[in-house]
Amino acid sequence: MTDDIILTNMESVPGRTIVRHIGLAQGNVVRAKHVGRDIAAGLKNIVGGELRGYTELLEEARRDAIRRMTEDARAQGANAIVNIRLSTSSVTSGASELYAYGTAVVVE
Amino acid sequence: MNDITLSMLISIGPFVALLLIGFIFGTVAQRNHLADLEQREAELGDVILTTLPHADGERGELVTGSTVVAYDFFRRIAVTLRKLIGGRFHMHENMMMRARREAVLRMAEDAQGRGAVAVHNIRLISSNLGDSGTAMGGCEVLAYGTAVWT
Repeated sequence: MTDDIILTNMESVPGRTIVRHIGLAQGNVVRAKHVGRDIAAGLKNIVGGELRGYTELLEEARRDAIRRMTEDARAQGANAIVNIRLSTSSVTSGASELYAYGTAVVVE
Repeated sequence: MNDITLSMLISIGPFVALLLIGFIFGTVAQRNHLADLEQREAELGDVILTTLPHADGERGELVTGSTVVAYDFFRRIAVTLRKLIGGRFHMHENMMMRARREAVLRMAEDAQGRGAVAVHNIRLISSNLGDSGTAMGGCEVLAYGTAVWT
């Protein structure tokens, strides 16, 4: 994650004061499953347990969504995003949308 | 052994084999995972985990933890049969709770590894991947919150 913009899912930034609210900052990524990982996951579907390939894939995608949100906030002149929410939804079978949104603010 | 029993064996053999493999590996994996969770939760020590929306501290940062879990073959079939009679899905409840514990643990371990004292405003969400309802492609659980340093 970027180090210059403060990210938090609380309503305030610990140790800082919010001086200005800018508005919504958001980022999304739609990722499809990957054939190689699908085969591995297919085998894993017989024995159960964690589908590590998918965990990693979604984690990467989520990091991208958060980065896009951060870039959106930076473009609006913010130096922090508060009250961040993350959500995942399957848009079509085999593809997931990861969405990150929050309020871009300026903190002291 | 006559031809009919032989052909029946050939047709249902792989299915039964998958059921057995699923049952054995699934049960072992479940037991190992629970033991692993117990141990890591004990090692985690004194990181404070709350769902409170406000907290004091010097600085805060978003932390996440996630996992994608799936049923084994045996349990998937069992759930399909369970749907016919309805009621509580104990196996599903157990699997989801294990996944949540795993996700929270990963988040907390990340926060602790970076020296945070607490994680506040924790949210947990889950979503189904792939075919809805069957958990065929697995179910994702995500935990996120704000790690706080004092």
